[in-house]
Amino acid sequence: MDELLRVEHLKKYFNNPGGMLHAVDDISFTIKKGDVLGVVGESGCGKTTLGRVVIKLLEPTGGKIFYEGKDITDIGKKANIELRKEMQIIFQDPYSSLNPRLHVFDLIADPLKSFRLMGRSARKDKVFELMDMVGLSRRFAYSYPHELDGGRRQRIGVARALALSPKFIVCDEPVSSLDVSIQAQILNLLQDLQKQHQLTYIFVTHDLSVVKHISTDILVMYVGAMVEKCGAKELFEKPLHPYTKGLLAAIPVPNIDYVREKIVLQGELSSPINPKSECRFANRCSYASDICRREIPVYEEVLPKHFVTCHRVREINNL
Amino acid sequence: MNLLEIKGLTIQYAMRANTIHAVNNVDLTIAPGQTLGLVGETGAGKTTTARGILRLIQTPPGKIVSGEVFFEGRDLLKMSGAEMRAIRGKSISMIFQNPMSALNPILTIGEQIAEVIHLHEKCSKKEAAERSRNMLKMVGIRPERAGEYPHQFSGGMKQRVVIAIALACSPKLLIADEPTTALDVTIQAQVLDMMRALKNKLNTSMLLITHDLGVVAETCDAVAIMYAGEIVEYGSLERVFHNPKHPYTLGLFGSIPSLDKVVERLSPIRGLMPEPSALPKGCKFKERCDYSCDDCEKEEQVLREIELNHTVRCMRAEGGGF
Amino acid sequence: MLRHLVKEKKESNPRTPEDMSVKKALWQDVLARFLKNKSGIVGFSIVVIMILLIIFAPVITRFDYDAQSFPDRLLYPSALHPFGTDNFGRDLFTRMLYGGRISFMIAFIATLISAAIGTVFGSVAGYFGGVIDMIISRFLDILMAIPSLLLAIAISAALGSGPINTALALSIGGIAISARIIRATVMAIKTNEYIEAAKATGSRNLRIIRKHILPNTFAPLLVNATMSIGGSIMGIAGLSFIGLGVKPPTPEWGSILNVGREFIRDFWPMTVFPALFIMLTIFGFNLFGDALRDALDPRLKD
Repeated sequence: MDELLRVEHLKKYFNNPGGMLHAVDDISFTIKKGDVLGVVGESGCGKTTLGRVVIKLLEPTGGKIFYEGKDITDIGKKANIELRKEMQIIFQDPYSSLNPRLHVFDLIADPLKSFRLMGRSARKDKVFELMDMVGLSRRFAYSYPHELDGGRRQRIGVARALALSPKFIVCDEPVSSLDVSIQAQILNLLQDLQKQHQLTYIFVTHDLSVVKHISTDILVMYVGAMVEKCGAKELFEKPLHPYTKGLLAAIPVPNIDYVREKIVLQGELSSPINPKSECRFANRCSYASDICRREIPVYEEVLPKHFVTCHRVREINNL
Repeated sequence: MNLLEIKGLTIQYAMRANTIHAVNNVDLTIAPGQTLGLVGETGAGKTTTARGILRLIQTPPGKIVSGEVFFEGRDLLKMSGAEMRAIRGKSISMIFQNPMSALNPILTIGEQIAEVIHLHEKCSKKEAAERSRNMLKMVGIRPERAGEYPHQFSGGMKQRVVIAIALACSPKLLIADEPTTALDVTIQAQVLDMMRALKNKLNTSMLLITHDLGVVAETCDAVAIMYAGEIVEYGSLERVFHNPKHPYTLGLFGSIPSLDKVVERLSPIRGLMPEPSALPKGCKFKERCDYSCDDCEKEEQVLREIELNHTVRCMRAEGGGF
Repeated sequence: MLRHLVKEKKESNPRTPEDMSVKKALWQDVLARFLKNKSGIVGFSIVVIMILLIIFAPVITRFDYDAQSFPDRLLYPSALHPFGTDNFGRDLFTRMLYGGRISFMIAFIATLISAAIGTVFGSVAGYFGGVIDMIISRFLDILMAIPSLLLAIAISAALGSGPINTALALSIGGIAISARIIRATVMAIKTNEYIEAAKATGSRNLRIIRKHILPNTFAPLLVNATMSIGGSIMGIAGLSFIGLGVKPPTPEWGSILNVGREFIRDFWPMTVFPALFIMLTIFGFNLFGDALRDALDPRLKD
């Protein structure tokens, strides 16, 4: 079938001393095989939590998750471990995501050992094959993470994620901790691997410009809620939600001739703890009206395949 | 007269096993009211340069080996400790990258701003407190919050407090080391906007250190690109952005994803920056350069003026080499 | 097209950064830092000298530790008897060296036992958290509420004297501290993403504890063990001093000190030398342990 992952009204709440933290609140989307969903938002929007809940590293508080049509929301511990062969994750921090006491070979071989998938000799071949795949020279096989730079460490993370030949990978801000000139190397690598192995990605990031050319669709999140979702190109050409517009206007562009509408969003992000029954963006929105402060807006398809959560979306965009 | 003139600044760190050549013969100038962007990646030497100006280098193991830093005509490197202390916070202020650790958690934000004023200017505590509240207003924080503590503020607000402290005594020069890197993008836009307004109002010059060329495009008048401890390209914003010439600069522009580009694939710069403890002879960028030739490693490269307000440290860039 | 692969091949050129940068193994870093610490080297030397003395006791002294000789009772230090003789005419220096064997052996065994049990409790509590952590922590709290020496006395009195019993008695008190240290370390390690990565790649809990967590707890455990050996030696001496622990004629610093009490006014060697040795050993272990902790502290990385 075409659909690889489907998520319906997904919720993840955390019980904090200050109250209930709505990290992920009512998120729904579908990803087709071979597509890349970019999930974008600022800190506290819940994108990192979403990435982990979707691959069942965290248990959802509510809602349903379907993988290849099967309901995986309530599978047991054993089935969850089996699921690791299908769904993997690449972490943001190339420092804390690698065990400092293991060398590169062991780090990449670890998943293979956990599942006892193959004998020692076959495992050795596989590890070196993975190193070649991610562009990590074989002579680093017995080096330790602290001897390598951020870019190479991240390649180890990618190789480890590919070890079990998964179909679906969550890339959690994989280039945010890297230097600018290395970022491009890793982004290209991820793009190439996706094409070569027909992988499906969720690409989580706070930087919209990074997902512009890698994503098929983009989902914008704000304080735990979905704000806008549509095809990648369309998001940049025709953003409908006031937050998306503000976000696009805020990203600095290294081009002194670039002309765009100046929007500076004032105010601070509202708190995801015990959120009130209102639009989460109301306190910063220049279009906020009475209804915005009284009712939570509904996620609806405003244009073909273009979803927005906003009471006044049609008025604001003259639709 | 230029507000700040750095000539031949060289800073090294003497480590156990080797010497780290962090900053190599750097020349920079900033005119009054001008903003200079100092761009480079991790390890390029930009933070060390900034700390060198204010003589905040840890000695040992660091050492300002040579150079002159003229501020309003006087060489800062020749001043006494007391003279430098009088300058820091008053004529030259610095703000650092991480607002979380720049503020003292046990003092109110009002007290921290007032402390700087009280230290440098002859005024009573009451006056200092009053001016402190004014500074809060200027950075967009309600003055009633002067009695609150840093942990009660978000990251963006904390950085505004840090900026308030830095500008409290109306310094002539503000050195800002990656001031918005740790902030969310919409908050970054707010803070940059505020900094621009304040800068214009107080006519402060600024040395803005960043790795983000987008931020430079929005805030700076001039740019210096730094690589392996050297300035490799230097000129007005307009010249460097319209006509970048150094292969590293070209590589940077080609490798960063940005909203205005429609590309299928990015063009990264291959390889890694050389270790500052083991810099190669000749051009430091040669290993990663697509345009290099054998001569590039034979001579030490110098800055060449390729047009008005634009110098490049590359022998092949001159005369439209490629 | 596969530029990232081509890039790696080009780096076989010897002038690339990887070849020129100094590659240091973790242990070399630690060793280098340790060697800069003068007091650490002093402490280490003391410990090493002590251990060498007691290992080579038969070579160093030709007396038997239980060779009594009544005419030679209570002799002051001389060329023949460097520390003098005790109340039974036995050479004191010999008894100190052989006594050291007993002290060190018991101390090592006690530390080993408490470290092993402490690690089990601490890692389970730290890793699983929740109710399990609560139960184990309250148990450890109770254990810690009892002064360890009193506990050792009570257990020693119940089990009787002798090296093994003494080792057991002393080990119980150290369990709580080891467990606490391990628990805190495990909780800190758990926050690292590589633990999450291990879960994400299919490792089960036991494997994660064994392979990813425990090897990283080695450092604080080692420091704690080093410090507690000093405390154990004092504990053994204390127990023997009050008549539990190791009983004469087996030589032991504390029991020699105990007997020496009778003669303290007229004959100082039987109190001074054991006390000196105990002091010096603990001093050495503490200096060594301090320096080891500083050397292993990752915050001191340059």
